[in-house]
Amino acid sequence: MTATRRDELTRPIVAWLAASLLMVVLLHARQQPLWVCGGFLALVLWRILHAWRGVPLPTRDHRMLWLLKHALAIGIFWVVYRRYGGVIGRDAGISLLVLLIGLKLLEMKSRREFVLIALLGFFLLVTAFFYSQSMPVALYALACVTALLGSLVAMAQPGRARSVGANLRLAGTLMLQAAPLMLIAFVLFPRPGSPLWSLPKDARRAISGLSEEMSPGELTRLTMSDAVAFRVAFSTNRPSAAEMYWRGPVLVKTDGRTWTPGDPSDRSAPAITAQGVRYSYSITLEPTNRPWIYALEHPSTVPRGTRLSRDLRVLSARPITDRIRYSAESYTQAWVAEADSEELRAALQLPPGAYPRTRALARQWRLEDRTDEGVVRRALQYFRNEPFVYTLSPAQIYGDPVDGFLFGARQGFCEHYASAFAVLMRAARVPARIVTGYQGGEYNPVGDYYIVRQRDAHAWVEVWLGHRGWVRVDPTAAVAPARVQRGIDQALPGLGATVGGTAADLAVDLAGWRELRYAYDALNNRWNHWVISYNARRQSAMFDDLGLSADWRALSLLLGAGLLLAGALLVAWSLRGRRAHGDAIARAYRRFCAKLARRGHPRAPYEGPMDYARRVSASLPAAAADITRITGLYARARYGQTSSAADAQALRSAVRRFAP
Amino acid sequence: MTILSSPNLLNDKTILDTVIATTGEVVVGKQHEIKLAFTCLLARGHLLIEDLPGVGKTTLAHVLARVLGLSFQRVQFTSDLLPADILGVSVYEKETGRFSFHPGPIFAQLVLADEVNRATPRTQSALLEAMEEHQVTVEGRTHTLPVPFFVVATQNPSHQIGTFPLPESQLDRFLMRIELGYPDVSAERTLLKGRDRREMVAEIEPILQPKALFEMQQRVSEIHVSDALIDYLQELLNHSRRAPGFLAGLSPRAGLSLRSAAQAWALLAGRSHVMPEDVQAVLPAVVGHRLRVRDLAHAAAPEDIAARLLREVAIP
Amino acid sequence: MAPATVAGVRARAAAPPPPRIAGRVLPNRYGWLMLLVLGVMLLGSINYNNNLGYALTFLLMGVWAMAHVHGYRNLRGIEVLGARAAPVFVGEEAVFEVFLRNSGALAGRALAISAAGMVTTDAFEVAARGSHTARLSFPAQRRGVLPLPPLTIASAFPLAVCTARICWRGDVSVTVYPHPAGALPLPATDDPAAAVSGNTLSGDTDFAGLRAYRTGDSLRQIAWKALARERGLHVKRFAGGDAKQVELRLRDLQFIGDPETQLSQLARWVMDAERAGTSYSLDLDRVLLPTGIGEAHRDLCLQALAHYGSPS
Repeated sequence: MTATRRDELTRPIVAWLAASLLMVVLLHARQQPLWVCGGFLALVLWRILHAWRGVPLPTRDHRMLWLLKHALAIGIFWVVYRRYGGVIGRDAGISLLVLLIGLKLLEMKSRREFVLIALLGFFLLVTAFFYSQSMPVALYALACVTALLGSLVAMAQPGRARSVGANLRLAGTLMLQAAPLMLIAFVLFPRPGSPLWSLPKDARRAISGLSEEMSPGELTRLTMSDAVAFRVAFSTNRPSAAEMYWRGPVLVKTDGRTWTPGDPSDRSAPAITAQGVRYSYSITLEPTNRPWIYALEHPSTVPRGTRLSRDLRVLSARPITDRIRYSAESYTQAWVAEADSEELRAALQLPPGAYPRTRALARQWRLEDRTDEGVVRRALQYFRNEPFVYTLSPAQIYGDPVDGFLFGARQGFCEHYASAFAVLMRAARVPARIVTGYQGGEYNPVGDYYIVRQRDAHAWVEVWLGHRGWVRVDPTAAVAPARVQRGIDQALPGLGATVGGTAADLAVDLAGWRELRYAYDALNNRWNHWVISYNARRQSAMFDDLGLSADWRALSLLLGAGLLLAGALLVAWSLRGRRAHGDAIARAYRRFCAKLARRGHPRAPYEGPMDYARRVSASLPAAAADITRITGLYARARYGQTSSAADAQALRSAVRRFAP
Repeated sequence: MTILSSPNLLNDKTILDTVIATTGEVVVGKQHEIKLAFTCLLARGHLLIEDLPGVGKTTLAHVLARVLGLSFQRVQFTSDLLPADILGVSVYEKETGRFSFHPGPIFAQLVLADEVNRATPRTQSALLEAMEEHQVTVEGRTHTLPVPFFVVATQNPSHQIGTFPLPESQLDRFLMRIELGYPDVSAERTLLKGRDRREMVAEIEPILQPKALFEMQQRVSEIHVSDALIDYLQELLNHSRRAPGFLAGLSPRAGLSLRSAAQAWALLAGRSHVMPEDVQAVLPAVVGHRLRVRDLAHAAAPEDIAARLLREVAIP
Repeated sequence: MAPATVAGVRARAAAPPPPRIAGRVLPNRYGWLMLLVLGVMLLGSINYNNNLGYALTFLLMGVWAMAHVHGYRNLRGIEVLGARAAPVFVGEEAVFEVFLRNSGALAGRALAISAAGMVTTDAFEVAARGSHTARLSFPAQRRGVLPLPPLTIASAFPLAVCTARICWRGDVSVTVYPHPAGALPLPATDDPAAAVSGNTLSGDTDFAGLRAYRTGDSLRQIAWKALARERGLHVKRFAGGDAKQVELRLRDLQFIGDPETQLSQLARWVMDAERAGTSYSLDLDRVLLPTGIGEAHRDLCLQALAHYGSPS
């Protein structure tokens, strides 16, 4: 009768909580070392075995196990410390959290601990978003939240077991009801522009992408990655694939092997000579952790907050740590017509003593052809005529990298061709520099945008032709024209297979599959744009568009008002009962009673309809006939044997006309 | 207002109105009680009349029998009355060498058990068992009672000396319990000025034949009880069981009794279906003897208990 | 030992004040804990500008808030109609029945009633427009009146992060009879005539019926005829002035123990007399209950014993 053991946790809810936590930990399995997840699983199994098989828990009653538990706790700290060199960082912290939740599960006896562990589960879930905020992760997290909330619902009803389904449904209902509040808070919560405190060192993962250095093999490594670099949507017409050079770092210095940028210049951007069409487009750039953004060659208008550098790169003030979206305009057919002598001198620099055979070849071309254009043409002819091979897996080059490539292996990827070409030009006294970036892109017809992936990374050369300025020359195009015309997949058939690509790559020919992937990517793009990239800047931009100021005070006010309004609606909605008992007949009669009540003759709840009619008729003789008729209709419709729809209709219209 | 729906019912109502009017000529000023008595009879229930001696209990029972053309027997209960005095005895007959059953006064269509609380519990039980089972078992042989079979028991207020009040469990066997009470001034005057009641009873001609009564009882059970009304009945029953004011709730049997009594009352009103008012009209008589209130200090009259129940339950 | 029928709750003489019902929904300690965790999650989301972190935190905050609405919903329309309990003897458990009604259109889920933090019922549900009878038992430790402590009807459903509760203070109490104890036999019958007739079988006129045999009944009273007819073991009961009759007087017990022991002995005697079918009167100096027998009489006598010495 009286429950003294209400606090006790039943086996089903323990199992439920354990399963929910496993779901959450699974989300961390990609980042966390195996022993962390395995250890957690072992601890969960221990708890489950205790619940079902009575395997002892490490309580004080079992001295050895109790000691073991403490040893485990210390061991966990030690291992994590050894593994990460501390316990403060993000990865270390999560490892610790996972294992300590597992240990806590062993100690769990009361509802208090149950709630605490479930809440830690939520916390663990949110840390998973530091690694990925993709749509699948969000959906999976939603399932985890449902499971954790469901376990709380199951626990909150002592002495009564509802079905799992009922508990999950209730958890789902709670989440649905909370969704409007979440949306309002998400949009209106004043977002700070910068972090509140400095982030731990490992908060920003190393992100694969172009760096400011280029050495042989650098770009080759990038082409292994299917990861998206950015997506481009053209607002007007779009250029051909061969024209799509996405300009990144410009490399001027070389030590013979590695290329690095030239000395920074604070001079303003040079004038460009443009021809043809100007393209407007917007780019959604994935975070790069680098202080520049990509634009189509050659940018004429750059987004706010960035500037064009002397070598025509688009520089941003801060590293791009979050996905951003920006608009720019470019001319694909243009030349930089401005350079000073210092720049040109830097573009002729060669490490002394390096690549003697290459220099000799260049000098020979120079003697044979006096114009710079002629030298360029000769070099390209050389690449086209000699048996050069465009490949991702070039043979090992020994000795001097450029000599070895030009006269030995003759197999290489774009960085090999670009650096060899630049060296040839400089040796022939033609100023040259290497531009890295991306070339081409995959058109997504579903979302009408281009996907530029890391494997589209490319390197090409710019040479200074006195009267025209800096002109782009792509030696790779001479060797493998398909690369620039139709993209890397066409230039290197079987690339997907060589780089150990996904099943999706192997099945590219499957009808419909590609379509599906495009749709998914389009969806992802929207997800990224609307959900993940929403930040302080977008927030204030949105409010500017609405003609509102977006300072935190106005936002807080709006937030409060919005939450209050939504809350009031939710309260009203969730408190609504099922429609009051009774059908149209009962409703009509209630209306009839209400009309009489307004005349000062309310019906007592226990008063029968005929008694009521008799009583009211006596006081309202003028309406007596109507009252009698309506009551008769009601009595027959509600209590009679054959109540037809016609009766109900007659009653309704009689009540409507009734005016006592 | 009445809603008449079938010629049969119209006919029934006319006949019953006549029956009630005729009864009312003899038992003056007790219109409602007479109607309740007929309701009880139509619902095939037994009637308990509880009141002081001399207010017309016996006369009422007698008139009922006459007007309906039922065979009538009166048993005066005393403390030395034995079960056999009511049920009958088996007598050994020398000629045939067998026992033959001599039926007692209970073998009548209407039995008046006068002052039932004067007999010992054993004798009371014999009567009540027969009432319940519609048959009598003597010496291992079962004898069926006539149809219709109707017991009107009268009881003096229990606080009189030398009585054995019917136990609560037995009270449940009576469909209704009514009180007659003193006649009002005008009724009293009619009584005093009028003729001898016994003579008047003797002059009454039967209005109804037992067969017709039987058919009428049949029609009572066919009176429509809508879902809405069942809801109301259930609310009443549940309230009596759950509300703290009541000592013991109404039994399922009480619920069934309430339903059939209300059906009979609807027939009396010439209606083909039961209205909440029908339930309310019969409820005091049906539940008055089955319900006790909690507050013994203010022991309420049965009618008050019923009124309270009715007042506390809203018609759904 | 407990009386067979439920006797009335003793109602205070004065009109009881209307029961007070005050309801509120407040976060409990789990609720504050959850807010704390959510606060940390929000700080983390702000710092890392993590939009899914924001979303999850806001979602859970919304859930937290909605849990309060649900909590309010659980108790909406719940009314306490009243409570009652049958009298008990000292040492027994007094069981209060609490009658709840839900006049609302939504079920009251996972409710529990607790009294003064001592006793808590299991969780129960009251359907929409339904009712429920909850039972709370308290040990009856002292003779007299055991009042029902103020009740709290609470629900932490559905998330355990908030508790909705209403309090109810009804003027309900249960009479606690003295524990029937004592080794003294019933006093001798003091009516000589009755003493004589008690030894002989009375005539039929005094016969008051049969009742089931209980240990301790006199062999003389066994209804042998009934036994012979295989109707089981019964004893005859007799009514009227000729039956046995005893007077139970408090002042006769002045020589034994303290007043409580004396009252216990009297309670014992009442039960014994009732069992033996002996009529009895009770004389408590200031309170005198005339001769009688039967449940009603017994309850009256036990009530008089229960309230003995308390200001009326």
